[in-house]
Amino acid sequence: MASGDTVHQVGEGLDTALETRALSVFYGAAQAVKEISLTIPRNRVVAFIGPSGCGKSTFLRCFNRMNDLIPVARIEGDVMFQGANLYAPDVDAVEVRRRIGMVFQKPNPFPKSIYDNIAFGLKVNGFQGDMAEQVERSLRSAALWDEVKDRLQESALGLSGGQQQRLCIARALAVEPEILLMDEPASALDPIATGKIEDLIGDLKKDYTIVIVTHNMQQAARVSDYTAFLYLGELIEYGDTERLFTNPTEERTEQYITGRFG
Amino acid sequence: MPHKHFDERLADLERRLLAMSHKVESIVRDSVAMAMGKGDSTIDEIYAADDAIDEEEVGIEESVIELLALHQPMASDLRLLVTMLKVNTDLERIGDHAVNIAEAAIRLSESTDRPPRPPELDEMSRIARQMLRGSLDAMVHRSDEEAAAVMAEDDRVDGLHESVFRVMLTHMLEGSLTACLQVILISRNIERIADLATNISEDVIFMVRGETVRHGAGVEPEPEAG
Repeated sequence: MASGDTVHQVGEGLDTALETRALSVFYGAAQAVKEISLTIPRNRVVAFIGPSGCGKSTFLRCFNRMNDLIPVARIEGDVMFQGANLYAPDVDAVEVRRRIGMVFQKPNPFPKSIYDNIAFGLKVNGFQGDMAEQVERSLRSAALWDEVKDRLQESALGLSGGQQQRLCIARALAVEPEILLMDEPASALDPIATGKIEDLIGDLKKDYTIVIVTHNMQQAARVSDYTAFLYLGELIEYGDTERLFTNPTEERTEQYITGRFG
Repeated sequence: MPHKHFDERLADLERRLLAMSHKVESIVRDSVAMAMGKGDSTIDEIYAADDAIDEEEVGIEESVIELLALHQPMASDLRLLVTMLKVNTDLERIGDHAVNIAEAAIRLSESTDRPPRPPELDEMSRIARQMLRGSLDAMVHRSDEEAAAVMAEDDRVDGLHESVFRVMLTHMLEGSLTACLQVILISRNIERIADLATNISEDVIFMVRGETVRHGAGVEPEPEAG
């Protein structure tokens, strides 16, 4: 498999949530992502794996235009979301980021109360409904409600790392995105907190499409339906997670996942 | 992550499995020799050899489980370890069948009526041991073709077993029931040994190709793409 004109599709018969077409990202003269064309099926979990510097996080950030915030970054190609190119001139990047939410490696709650962490994004987005109800719904969706319902007005910074990360997921969910991007969401967490995040990912795919970048291959194997292996900015292999981890097609995938790379 | 240490452990496991298969092959040869009234093995020697095989089986299983737990291998490493686990079990069972053969041989030798010992048993034993050796060689060579060749031999053993069965039925009608039953049991156990060698070959094909060929699913190699 090589990057380029062919669109690498998985999940036959499933709706497509996102599609990239010959997507490239440059940092100055360096090309971090090389003409990747693939589809992300709706209500599924897709994992990107690959060694450090393979372009997986850069690729992920294209999906909600986070690379726009990096001055030297330049994008070529298209990211299609519901029939439109996210990079078309008339598209509002802020609206893109509302509909395609993101959770980062390190939990980054605001130095505010638990309640306000959720309510903040809603207020910014001009939410008109029942705020308390939406906060509760978001916290329940992130499997955090039972742990914080009696201390909503306490500072979010008093929560454990795992709770903070679930709070960040709740915050991302509060504005009702369609897609959730996760960049190493559990790499700073202990195994128990990691397990909760992984369980949560399984629950969330009923309502959301999730794209996750992870260094932890066992985690990719556990949580995702489809896995893409990137190396040096190229898409090397993309397919059913179970097959990719038991019987990969590409020699480089085999070498990477068995730890015999390079 | 792997990996020098992991690779060394894998290679060591494979060596142990091969050594175990040599013991298994010997015990089959010796027990069938007993059945044919040849050789000089005693039943106690067969028991002792089987005990050693049992012990080795437990040791190999522990090592495989340890490697799975500590290294969480994937792709070909995972398939190799899972295959070793299954081959290990199959080898141990072959040892049990050899014990069954030796015990039947004792009963046969103590029996007052003596049916002819059919020469097919020797031939079956030879093919079954060859299959066993071939299946382990296929594992070492990572060769699905060699494994498929081993599987093709199983029909010959089945055919010979059927032939023994028919001959013994004829003798049974003449009245030598107990001894004939022992011969049928011996034949049946050799036939099972060939089946287990077939299982090992199927697992080797899974290991090489990553696809299951058990229960009659696609043994033929995949056609080359394009």
